[in-house]
Amino acid sequence: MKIQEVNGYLYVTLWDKQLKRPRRFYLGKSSDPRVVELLKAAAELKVPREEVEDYLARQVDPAARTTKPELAVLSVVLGVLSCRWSGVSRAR
Amino acid sequence: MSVERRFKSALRLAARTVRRFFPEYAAVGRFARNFYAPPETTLDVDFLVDLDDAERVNELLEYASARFEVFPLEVGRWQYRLVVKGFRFDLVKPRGYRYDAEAASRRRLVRIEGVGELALLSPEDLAVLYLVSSLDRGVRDLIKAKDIVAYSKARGDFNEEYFLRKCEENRVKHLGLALLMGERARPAW
Repeated sequence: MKIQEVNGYLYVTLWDKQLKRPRRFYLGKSSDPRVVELLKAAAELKVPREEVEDYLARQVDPAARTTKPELAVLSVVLGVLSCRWSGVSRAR
Repeated sequence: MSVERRFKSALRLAARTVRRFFPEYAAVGRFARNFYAPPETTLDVDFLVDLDDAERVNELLEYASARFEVFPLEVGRWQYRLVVKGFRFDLVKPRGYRYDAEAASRRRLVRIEGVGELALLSPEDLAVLYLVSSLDRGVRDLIKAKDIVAYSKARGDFNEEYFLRKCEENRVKHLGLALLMGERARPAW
């Protein structure tokens, strides 16, 4: 990933896996580096292998090839309950 | 009635209402993400619908407001909230994201006991949607996109070619390519 500043504008050159050649993308004015920061963060994000293996072993429904639906349902139920409990404790 | 049963009943009613006016709807947001990556708690369920279609939005508001709490009630907003049995369901059309017939045709139908079938945006399209929203909301949405890509690849359920094409169409291909840097396809099972 190569980031360049040309006449106050930012560009990045990335290997385009579809075109199988490098490609330059315009990122906006150099006075606003938010997209560059986002791009650097995107390139650095990693998901640990152990977490992936644990997910595959415990949380995936092999027939549907998605997370087990009951766990997705639980994510809302627990979210709503924890919100209510924290509201109650704040009120106290 | 337990909270879980009440939520399932609310989800069934909300999905039925949305489907009635927007058959091409897709569940998005954290609830949909949780089908593609380790679940994180959430407070609501988001449905992606065409809120630019004023006629259908008006019909839905009229129908839903007679049954549930709904706000706002004016046509022309970018987000609406239905409250069904105390649970929140948001209808959204995120700015800058293009939901087309191809994305609708690639939705995943999941069957939830006590709810029935629910349509989710595909993992590739949901990752693109998070990349688009990261331009406004920053790294936290980028992390959600990364989770969807990494865990879906691990399940053997991610079409990189389609993902990059949709990134291109939504003007976030640079983010899509950066996200894929360092990713290697893992065996499915």
